Amino acid sequence: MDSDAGGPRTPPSLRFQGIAASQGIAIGHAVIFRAPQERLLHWRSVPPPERPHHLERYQNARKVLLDSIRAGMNLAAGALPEAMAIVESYELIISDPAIEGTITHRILGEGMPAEVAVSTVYDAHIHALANASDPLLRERRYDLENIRQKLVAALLSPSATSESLRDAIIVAPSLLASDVLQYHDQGARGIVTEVGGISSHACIVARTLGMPAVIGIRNATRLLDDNVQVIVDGTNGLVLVSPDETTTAHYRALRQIRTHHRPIHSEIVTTTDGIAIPVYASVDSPDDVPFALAQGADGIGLVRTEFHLVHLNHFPSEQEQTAWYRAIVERAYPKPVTLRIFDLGSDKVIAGMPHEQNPALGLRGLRFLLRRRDLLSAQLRAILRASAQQTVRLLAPMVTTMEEVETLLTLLESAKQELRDNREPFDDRIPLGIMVETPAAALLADQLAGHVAFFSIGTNDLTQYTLAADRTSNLVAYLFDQLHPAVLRLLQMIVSAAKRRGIHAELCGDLATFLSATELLVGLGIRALSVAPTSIPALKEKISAINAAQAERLLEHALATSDSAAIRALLNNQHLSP
Amino acid sequence: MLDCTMVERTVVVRNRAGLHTRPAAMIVKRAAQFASDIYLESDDHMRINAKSIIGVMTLAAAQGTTLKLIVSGPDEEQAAEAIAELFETGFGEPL
Repeated sequence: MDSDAGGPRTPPSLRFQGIAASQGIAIGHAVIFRAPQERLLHWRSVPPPERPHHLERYQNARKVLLDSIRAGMNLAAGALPEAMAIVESYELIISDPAIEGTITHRILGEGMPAEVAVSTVYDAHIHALANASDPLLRERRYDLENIRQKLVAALLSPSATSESLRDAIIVAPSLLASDVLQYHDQGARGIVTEVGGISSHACIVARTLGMPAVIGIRNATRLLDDNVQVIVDGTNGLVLVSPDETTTAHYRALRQIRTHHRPIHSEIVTTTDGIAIPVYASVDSPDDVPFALAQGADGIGLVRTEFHLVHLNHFPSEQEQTAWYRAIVERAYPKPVTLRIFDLGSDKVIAGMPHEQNPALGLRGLRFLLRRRDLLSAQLRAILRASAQQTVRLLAPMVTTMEEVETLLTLLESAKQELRDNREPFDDRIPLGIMVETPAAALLADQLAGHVAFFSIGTNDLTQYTLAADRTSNLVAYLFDQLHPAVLRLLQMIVSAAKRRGIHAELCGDLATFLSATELLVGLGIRALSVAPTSIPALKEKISAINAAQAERLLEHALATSDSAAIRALLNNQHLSP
Repeated sequence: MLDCTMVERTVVVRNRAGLHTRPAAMIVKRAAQFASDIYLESDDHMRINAKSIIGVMTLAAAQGTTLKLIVSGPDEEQAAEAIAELFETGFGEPL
């Protein structure tokens, strides 16, 4: 396209939509961590007298990296057991005597420059791991790649790490969990990365630290320059570069509200007009429960039981499942626990599952389990056994037809009968709910509501299916908008159907953690939310400041708009008004 | 090292998940506490240094795999005993 006729453009404020990975607002100057320019293709053999110098450079780079990893370990110790285990394995890799021995030999014996020796040795291991038959082993190559990159970076520009990170926004291709811990400790405010998953360890750590992060901004390290002013809106997945004064002032005000001191509310909070809205925690294992309760969770709103497989690396037996569910229920007791049956397929696949062209639209969730009734029945029995104290609810993912629900109810009844026959105690009236996460379920909500005890609305998948936008794709990330008017209308449809049938509509998914959307959700009539444990204190505080009657009026305005930008503007104004 | 004795034992991967990252890290950390050279050798004669995480990981030993534990050095008896014990207890994981 031709350039503007009106003359040269001043560098405009740029705006990038990425994926919201850790909520909150961060404002600061960019510090760009570029992948090192690896000038490794052509190298000359180092003359023997200079080789010890290269060995020393390698040892120094190794030490710099080890120190930084250990600093990360110290920061993680105690508070973050999961991060600790990850970071510890980095240390073992960097200290690996086999790797160190080979690198030393290549430098001293073969005359390789230090960076070439490091690259070639790590590359060989990365290559071997990439071809491993074990999928978990294959994934480990990313750690090695990251470590190799850091060693080479330290060799090429040893001073880069001494830069001050006070009030910095870190812009990097990707980050290790230990980087996030360390940058946070050095005063960095926010994170922007080019790649990475929302459930990557680095993002988990960022959320735990309350450090705003946006991921999936392709080419961010090339598009941004060092020291430009950047706003990271980790709540909405936005990155604003060189914003004008008005925008900056607006976000400062937002940040003010959000960084306010957050007490832990251990009781269920109510709106200013007295409507109680429990905030539950979404968890992946019994280990998450104590932390969730410490954050003030009113119960466990979602246990992703498929993570039991991920932790074990094999399919758990019925006994193992029973013990695992009981551990969760006992730790949460007397607070309620919602156990969602295995949501396999799509991005979580087990051996024997068919390979599909389009797994998000394939044999996943309840669909898969109804094909494998042996697995489903065993899981239902295990969940029933954990329900004896009447605090357990059962939740089924990925429902699209009434028939699926009817079949599930029949299988649940037979599982109950088997337990009765064995005189095993369980809750005969265990509530069965379904995830409403497909447009089909939303459109059929009034009929489905007649068969189940509650709805749990999964906004991540509901958005992906409604907007036909793959939520793992960087290319359509700009379309993946949980506040799209189409999504909002479906939400309203689901909640109204639930109300008419007298059942509860709850919500899990990222939308529940976006504080700018909370009022809208209250206005919709959502009466419980389930979020990551770290989001609970802020969400409870937010709810206790909302007036439900006013929220309903806000919803009316929002439903009258036709685009999400208008909805956002509405929500942000609301947010700023006293 | 002038010591030419050597301890050899057979160990079996008993935990269900096999030698994935966590057990591998346990072996490496335990092995590092001893002065002796400690190796693990698989059926197909792949021998790795038990003090190397990348080595232990790439053994990719699944449940039921039999490995030869070879230890040589001043504290070889204690080292062999310590490493064998990790295998016998299944690294504290489900068997």
